[in-house]
Amino acid sequence: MKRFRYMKAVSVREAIGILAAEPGAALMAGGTNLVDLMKYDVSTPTVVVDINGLPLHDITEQPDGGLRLGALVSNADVAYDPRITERYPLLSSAILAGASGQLRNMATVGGNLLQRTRCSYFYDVQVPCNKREPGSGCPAKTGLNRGHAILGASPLCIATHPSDMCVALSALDATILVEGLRDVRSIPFSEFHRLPGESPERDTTLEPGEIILAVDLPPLPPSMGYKVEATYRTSPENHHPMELFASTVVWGADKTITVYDKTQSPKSVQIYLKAAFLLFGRRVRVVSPYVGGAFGLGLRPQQSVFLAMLAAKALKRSVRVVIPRDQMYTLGYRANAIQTVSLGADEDGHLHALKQEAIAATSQYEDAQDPMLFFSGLLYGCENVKLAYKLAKLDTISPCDMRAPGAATGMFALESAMDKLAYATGRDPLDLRLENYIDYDQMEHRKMSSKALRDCYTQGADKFGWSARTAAPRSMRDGRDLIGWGMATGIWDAALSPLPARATVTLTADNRLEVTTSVTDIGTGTYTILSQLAADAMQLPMDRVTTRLGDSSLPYNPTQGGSWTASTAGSAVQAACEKLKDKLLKHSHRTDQASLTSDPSVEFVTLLNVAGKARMEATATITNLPFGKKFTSATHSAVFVEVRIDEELGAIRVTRVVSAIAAGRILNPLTAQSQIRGAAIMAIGKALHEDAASDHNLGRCMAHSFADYHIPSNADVFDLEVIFVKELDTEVSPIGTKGLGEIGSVAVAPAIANAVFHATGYRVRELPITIDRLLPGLPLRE
Amino acid sequence: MILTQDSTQIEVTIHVNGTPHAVKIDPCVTLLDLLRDHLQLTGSKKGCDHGQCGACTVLLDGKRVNSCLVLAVSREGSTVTTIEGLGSIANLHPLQSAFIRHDALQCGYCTPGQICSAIGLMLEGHAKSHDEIREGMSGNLCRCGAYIGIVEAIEDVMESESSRGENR
Repeated sequence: MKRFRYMKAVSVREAIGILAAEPGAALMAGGTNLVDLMKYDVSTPTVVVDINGLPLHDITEQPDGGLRLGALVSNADVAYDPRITERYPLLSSAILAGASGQLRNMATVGGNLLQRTRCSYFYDVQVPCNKREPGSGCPAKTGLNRGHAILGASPLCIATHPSDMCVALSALDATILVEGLRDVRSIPFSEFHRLPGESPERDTTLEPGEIILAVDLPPLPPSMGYKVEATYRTSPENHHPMELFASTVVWGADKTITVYDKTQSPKSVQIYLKAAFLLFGRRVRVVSPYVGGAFGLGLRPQQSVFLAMLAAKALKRSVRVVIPRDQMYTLGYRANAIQTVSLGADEDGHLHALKQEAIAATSQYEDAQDPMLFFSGLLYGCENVKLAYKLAKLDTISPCDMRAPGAATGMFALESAMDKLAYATGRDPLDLRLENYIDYDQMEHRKMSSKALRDCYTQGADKFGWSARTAAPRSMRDGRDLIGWGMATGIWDAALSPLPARATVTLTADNRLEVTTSVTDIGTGTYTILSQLAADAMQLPMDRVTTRLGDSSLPYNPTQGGSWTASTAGSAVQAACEKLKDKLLKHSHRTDQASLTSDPSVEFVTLLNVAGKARMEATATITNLPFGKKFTSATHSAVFVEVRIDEELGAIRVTRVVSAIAAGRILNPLTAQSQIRGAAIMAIGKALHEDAASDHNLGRCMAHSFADYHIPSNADVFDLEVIFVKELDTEVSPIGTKGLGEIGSVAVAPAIANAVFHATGYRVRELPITIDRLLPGLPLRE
Repeated sequence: MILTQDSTQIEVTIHVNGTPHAVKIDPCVTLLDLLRDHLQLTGSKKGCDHGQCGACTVLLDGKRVNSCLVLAVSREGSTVTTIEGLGSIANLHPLQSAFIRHDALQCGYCTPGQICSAIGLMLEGHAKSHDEIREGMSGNLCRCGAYIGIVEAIEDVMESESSRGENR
């Protein structure tokens, strides 16, 4: 041991003063690490400052409910303190996992944090070590390094910090209170120890002269009777509308360019083409009256329209580009994600803590986001909600919103976790949800414009016959089939488009009404409902109304998507009809206009004749400012599912689905039912089949066709019943609709996953639930 | 497929919806491309071009086939029925009306193939039960998920045809 001076500090300020004045000074608390290192000459302080006399020996309650551990409290005193063993058992067990009884009696909180590495090269002064002697080298890199760093190492050093206690403190989000020459500051635990980088000799972010006063443990959520935590994975999915992406650019001689494109937004494509190809001197019209399905893949201008325009402009002739099925994988996908959900509940099953963390895929060139966790804090009353959404940049293309983007993935994780909690607390999954029901937005602290989710639960359960379910997994069976009943909650945004929307209605002397707006119809029935709304408003039979859509030359309407088109375009059409009626009524001789508008015998065309006009039109614009809202609006669903699983083959069939939906006013029950059914069928694909997997060596999506990317076929679909519960909402949109495109998809995949658990007793936490992933739940029978 | 300059074209006559069409085409032209690109009959759809989705289904000599996998030159003298040959807006085929009644379509892209396939299925006479229809129609994918309405529409037409048969 090298010689040194020994001093006793009597105050914190004195200790700081010595540390700052003497670069070779070392503080000594328990001495278990320092004295050891000094004996090997690894540590060679010129002055050893004994700080055991400083008043840092107490564990004290903090006003916020946390605990402060004085820097000089011994490891043993921390580990056995009842406040620690009860509230922070992780810390207690981490301490007791290390060292010995003797060492734990000596070692202190502060000293534990400042331990040096146990790297054997660091300890051996006969060999080089960059941490001990900067610039000397690191033999560990190519030597004996089984206990060394895998992550966070630098070319200069691969040593790790040896403390078990620090791992626990980091997990508990502790902070470290330090005092230096100038001030007292708090350092988050994860920022206290530094990676070796260019200066491995520095272990921590302490400034010269700073000493540790205490470690602060944050308050824990109220004590939990039950806690469940698990990680859930989902695979990338492709939209795969039945139609191929195709764009035809007709190069007109008269400076006009007509583009027949597969898009959910003719206006956006028009604006994009004009800007990208500098076509301001030309008349560019984008037409898409029949889009096909799209499902979100047509939200953006796709490669086909770009390439077709590029070629047309170069060749000065008309060009068509069709993207074949195998290349449609390169247009976009639903982001794959890894999510961890933690739920804490008391003995009565009431939630007190909800944490959901998601890591979602994106490309290297774009932070493409989706609302994966937007809705996780809205379904259940819980005073502690923490949601964290992160993107992982991968060597792939950007994701592209796919039916119920985000929510379908986020709700899979949350609703699987709720099912797990139901079993942990011994409750029926439906009862657990009802016990935690809330009817206001606890995240934004405002009312819901309407929320008939409770009716979805009760009516859906009733229709399904949920009360006949036996709780235990594997308790329902029919011959070779394991039967599982599962349920889940769904939620999606209900909103008008954030952009203004216009529509024009024109009445002609032959008593025909034409409705025009630029929005598309992606199979959702937009033509039908707009005609229907206009026919109602103008008191005309449906066959007198013609609706023209999907054309950039028509009055502006935003992109079709987000479940907002019926509300947005529908409200614009209704407003245009009201305007037209006002114009017509000016030509009426009757004074009681109110009774006139409600009189079904009045034909507006007579007023047109009175006015002596062949046609009259009106255009209305509706706006929807996204700020200053008094209400939160959402659609809700409760989905109940029966699966039958062949116990020997592992084949899963979704034999029964009841989907109860609360979505405000339903304009057309037939097309609305089709929307919900179709969305549920797509979600069966998500739950059981769809995985656009990439080969990591080739960097290539290996799902080229419907042969290696299965989407549900007719044989995959059995009973699928839809209930629309009554829900009156006067705030969400002028016509009272909430939108239906997405909500039918959200809860189906988690309900299937929960049913698979009920059938087998094995929880598959990765979608799709393929037979190989289910195998552990299907033990071989003799 | 890429057409080469020196490819040898072959003359073939195919009867489509009752009309004979004599065309001179490259051997690589599929029946689907012949219909869509040469005869402008765009009712039959291209969804995958590999016989997996069924959107291109037509009746070839009375049997449902994936027209995207048939080389047109190999079917000299054959008879083809497409969606255009089944009905008109004024006079819909019973299946077309049944599809509308049961909302058996959303975006409509797979519908011509579904209807031709359903006619083929009924002609084959194998599918009698609900489950057999579901199985038999599984060569026609529908991403909108209109399957329930499709089966209902087919059952509807099958029932009315069999009751008409009984009345005779």
